[in-house]
Parts: sequence; C-alpha cells; structure tokens
Amino acid sequence: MIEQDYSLHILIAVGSFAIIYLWFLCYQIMRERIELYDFIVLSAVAALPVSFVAVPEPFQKLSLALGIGIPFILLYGMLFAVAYYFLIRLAMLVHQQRKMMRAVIQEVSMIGLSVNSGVCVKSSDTVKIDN
Amino acid sequence: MPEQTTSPILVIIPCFNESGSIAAVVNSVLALGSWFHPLVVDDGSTDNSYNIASTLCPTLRLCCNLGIGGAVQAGLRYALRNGYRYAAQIDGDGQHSATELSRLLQEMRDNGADLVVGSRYVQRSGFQSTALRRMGGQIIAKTIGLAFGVKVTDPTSGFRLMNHAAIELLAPQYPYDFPEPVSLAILLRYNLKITEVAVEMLERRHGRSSIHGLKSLAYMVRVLSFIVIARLRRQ
Repeated sequence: MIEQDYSLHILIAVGSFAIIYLWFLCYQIMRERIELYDFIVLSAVAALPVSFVAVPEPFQKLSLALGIGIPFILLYGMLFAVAYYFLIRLAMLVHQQRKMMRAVIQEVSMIGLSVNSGVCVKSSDTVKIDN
Repeated sequence: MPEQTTSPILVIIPCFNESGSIAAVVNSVLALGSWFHPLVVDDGSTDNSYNIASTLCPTLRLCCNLGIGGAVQAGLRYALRNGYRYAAQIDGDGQHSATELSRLLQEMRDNGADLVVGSRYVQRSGFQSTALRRMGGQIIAKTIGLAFGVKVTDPTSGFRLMNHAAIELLAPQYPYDFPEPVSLAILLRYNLKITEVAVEMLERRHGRSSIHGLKSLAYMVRVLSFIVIARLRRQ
C-alpha cells in the first residue's frame, strides 16, 4: 500500500480544474444545453478528484480494503465508471431517439397519404415506442 | 385462399430508387385481382419511383431513407391501422414474381402458418444468388434451427406472407437492421408458426444489393448476434 499525502499545491491545481469545469457545466445548463441530471453525473468528474485530494484517508482505506496498491487506480476506476455510465446512458438515449424519429417519419408518411388520396388513417392512434 | 371473401391482402412493396422496375411490380400485383391491395413504401428515393408508384397505387413516402426494415414496418403499421388480416411483402426490384403469392396463401391455409416464406432453396430452381451468399444464408438458417428447433432454408428471403398475429407482433418492433432473419427469430420466440414454400426468384432487373464486400461479414456477425439475443429475451 502506497501512502499518499497531497500538498496544498496539488489541492489548488485540482480545485482550480474543478471550479473551471463546474463553471463550464453551469454555463451549459443555464443555456439549456444539458439536463440537470446530466450535470450531476458529469460534475462527479470534478468532485471525485477534489474529494480524493482533500480527504485522502477514506480513499486510502477503501483502496486497502479492495486490495488496490495504488489509490490513484481507485480514482481512475471511479472516473471510468462515471464516464461509462454516462456513455451507456447516451447510447440508450440515442437508440430511443432513433426509434422515435423513425416512428414519426412513418406516421408523417401515412398522414401524407391520407391527405393526398383520402385513404383513411386513424389519427387518434398513438405510436408505442418499445424501450 | 384464407377468408378470401372478407379479408383483402395488403401487398407491401418497399422501394428505394427502383424507378426502372416499380411499375412492373405494382402492375403484376394489380393483375392478381382486386383482393390484392398493393402498397408501395418509397424509402426516400431520389429518383422518379414515388411519382411512378403513386399514379398506380397508394404510396407511402418516407421523407428520408430508413432502410428496408423501416419501410416494411411502415407498411405493417398501415396494415394494422386499416384492418388488414393478411400482409405480404415483395421486393420492389422485380426479384419476386407476384403470381407466386397464391402458393404462399395456399400454404398458409393448408398448414395454419402465421408466416410463410417464399424460399428459393427448397427446390433450387430459378435465380440462386452467389455461393458466398448461399453459404451465409445457410449459416443463418442453421443458427435459427439450433436456437429454435425449426428448419428454415431461406431466412433472408423478402418474399413472405403473414397473418394478423404476425402483423400485430411485428408492427411495433420490426427490426431495422437485417430484418428478414431477425423477424423470423422474433416470431419463433413468440411461438408463432413459420413455414416455407418453394418459389422461383428472378435476378434483380435494376440496382444493386446494399450488402456486399466487408458489409457481408458485418451483416453475418450482427444477424447471428440478433438471433441469439432474440432467443434469450423474455416474451
């Protein structure tokens, strides 16, 4: 187990990154470019390193408990977990959006046909998108 | 013919840039009689396909290309909305002979199948595709056989007839990628009955298949994965 003490120097560097990064996220959320939930998930990328440097003892104990020799590996593992969670969530959203887009295109084509030729299409039906 | 007097059959003709053949295909369906209702689904063609088809029969125009799965699904949704008990699918490139639809209907009536596939490999007559494609088709057929315990010879055939149960099941979840074999797997997962009948297929009159070169390999990997997923998923 490698004990790691973090100097004020490192704390300032990591804290500065966190402030700039969170400010950037806040700017995006204010412009309605990301959702609040995404903001919370993405802010973990700043919160984890800051916590890791500010209060290293719990992370060192957790590393020890998990049998990870270098606590930094734990930090990278956590960051990767956050990133992959976000990626999977994005992939699911994209898949859902594609299904919806296709359904809308199909509905529009049926409405177009009914308008052009008077063929009956039940407009009250709703399109079910399976998850 | 199943419920011939009360149930017309919607013939879905997916079409993408088939201006050279679409009129002949639609006319061959119209020639079968008034119980066969052709529906062309123009999948975002950039040529004159829509204009030609829309003068002959109802034509859905998709504003952009969704692929064969999206086009057929639009037709199935149309069938469901308009109360069709039966829907057939034939290609817009002229590979399938509409007159053979009667054989599919006969098979559905005789064996109570939910979906009848027109297979070019039951009797091995007519256009037989390339050796590589046949081998790919056989691998997919064997995989479906292993996964579901049924024998299919031509899982990639786009010449098929389905009843209301199959339409209802597939309309909301018709696969977009490589839909023919994957839709078979979905139907089998829900214990619907699939049979095949021998048909002759012709060489396409115009255009080129979208699956060639390295795409064929990707096609195989994805189709086999989808079949396994369909087998594992809950009903």
